Amino acid sequence: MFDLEQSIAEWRRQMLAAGIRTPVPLEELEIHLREEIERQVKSGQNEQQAFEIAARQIGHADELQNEFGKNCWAKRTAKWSLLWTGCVGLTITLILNLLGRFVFHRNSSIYFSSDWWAGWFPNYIIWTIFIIAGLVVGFSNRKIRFRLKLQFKTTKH
Amino acid sequence: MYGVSMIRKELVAASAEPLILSLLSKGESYGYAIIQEVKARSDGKLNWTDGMLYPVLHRMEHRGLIKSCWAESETGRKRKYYSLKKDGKTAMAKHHEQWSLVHSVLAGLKKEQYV
Repeated sequence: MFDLEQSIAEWRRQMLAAGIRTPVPLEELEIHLREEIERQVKSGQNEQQAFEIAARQIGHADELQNEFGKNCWAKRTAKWSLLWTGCVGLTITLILNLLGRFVFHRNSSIYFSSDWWAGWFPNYIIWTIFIIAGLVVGFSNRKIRFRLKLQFKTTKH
Repeated sequence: MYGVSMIRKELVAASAEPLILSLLSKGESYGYAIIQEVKARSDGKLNWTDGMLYPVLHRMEHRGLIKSCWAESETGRKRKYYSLKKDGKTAMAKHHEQWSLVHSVLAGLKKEQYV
């Protein structure tokens, strides 16, 4: 005997297994599924046929996850580009500064001297800004996910 | 006279954003209704895989073109309603301009074939 609620629960499990873990998209997809089942039943299909048609129309879980995954791609790329650029720049600056100080014995490379503040310090600042920007982009992503979770919880009750 | 066949998936994907923006410019709507309206208006020729609409909507929301809020329908069903933002109106105007240009070039070329 076909059990609609059990089939929907199984469909949810498949979506979760494919990686659609954020609650809002899954909630929206389930609402869509139920509306389509209702429409199909009204047009004369039995519950099982209606469920199969609706699930097929929504699409395959893996394909959907690929599409949802694209949404975060740009931000992830920006975060890692900024972090990598900042870390590499900071490391090169530090190495050159140490070489100047201990190998070439340049006065301008002496930490916290007036020449160091004018010459080296701005370099450290620039690369640190890159790292901070990367962290901010990464953090804002997390904040959005947290907000989505909260929204889901408040709408569910 | 040839009937219009099913539209290729590349064109379906490219037309998704301008169609969603144009539909939402008439008033707020939710995913299921958007899909049904597009299917009805295209006589079923613009056939979206239903689930694919949601990543597009979420991307557009993320870019600040549309906004959303949860509300209950008259039947008590919970729905996520989308509506157009100011940037969405600007984006829609740009889409209309670009699609009109493509259409006019195509129409001009077709006309020349019959001269």
